[in-house]
Amino acid sequence: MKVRLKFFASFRLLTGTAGTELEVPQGSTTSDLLELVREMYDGFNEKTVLYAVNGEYVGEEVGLKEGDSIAFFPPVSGG
Amino acid sequence: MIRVTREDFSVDEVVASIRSGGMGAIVTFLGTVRNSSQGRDVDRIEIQVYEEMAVKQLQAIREDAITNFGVEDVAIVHRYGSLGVSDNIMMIAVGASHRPEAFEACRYVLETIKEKVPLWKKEFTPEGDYWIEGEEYERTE
Repeated sequence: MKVRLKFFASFRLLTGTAGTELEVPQGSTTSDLLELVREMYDGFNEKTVLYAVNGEYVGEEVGLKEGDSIAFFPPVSGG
Repeated sequence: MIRVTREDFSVDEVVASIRSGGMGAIVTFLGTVRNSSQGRDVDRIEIQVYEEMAVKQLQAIREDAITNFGVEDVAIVHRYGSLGVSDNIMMIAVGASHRPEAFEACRYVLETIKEKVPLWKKEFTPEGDYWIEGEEYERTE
């Protein structure tokens, strides 16, 4: 199934993109995807990574669905 | 009022958006761009936002503040894009019957934004450009 990845702040430098599509196995979870992303892009292993599915913070073992949008980003600094 | 915008805002307009007869106190917080950070001069900043998520998070924070602190209304405006020194970054206005809950709720809203809402500041300094990530600074090559 296809999912959409989004990256923000310095993660756009690490990945060279603001977003991309990725084919992942059916039944993949958020932690499976995070592991995959850590393998795909150098430098991710040293980073604190926050993530959200379809604009909501979720836990580590949440199942993904076709078309989900998963955002990866560093700790926030608004305010 | 929840607003995430490139445009500047009027402090009076934000206050007016929540003002009502039941309020005896309106506490406001205005965040602005400081000209120094970590011992470096700051020329300007850029703020990046994951807008769809930020709006949802700000709405949830506003509702939590009203429910948990018993305040009457909360307005939050946060800017993104390129901002100069002294420019407005964000504003919180909290209206309540009495001041204690208004101060407490305003603090709660601010600290929760800093912890949860997907916005990131990048500082432009003579020594280079830095993304701020929580408490960390990440130099941009």
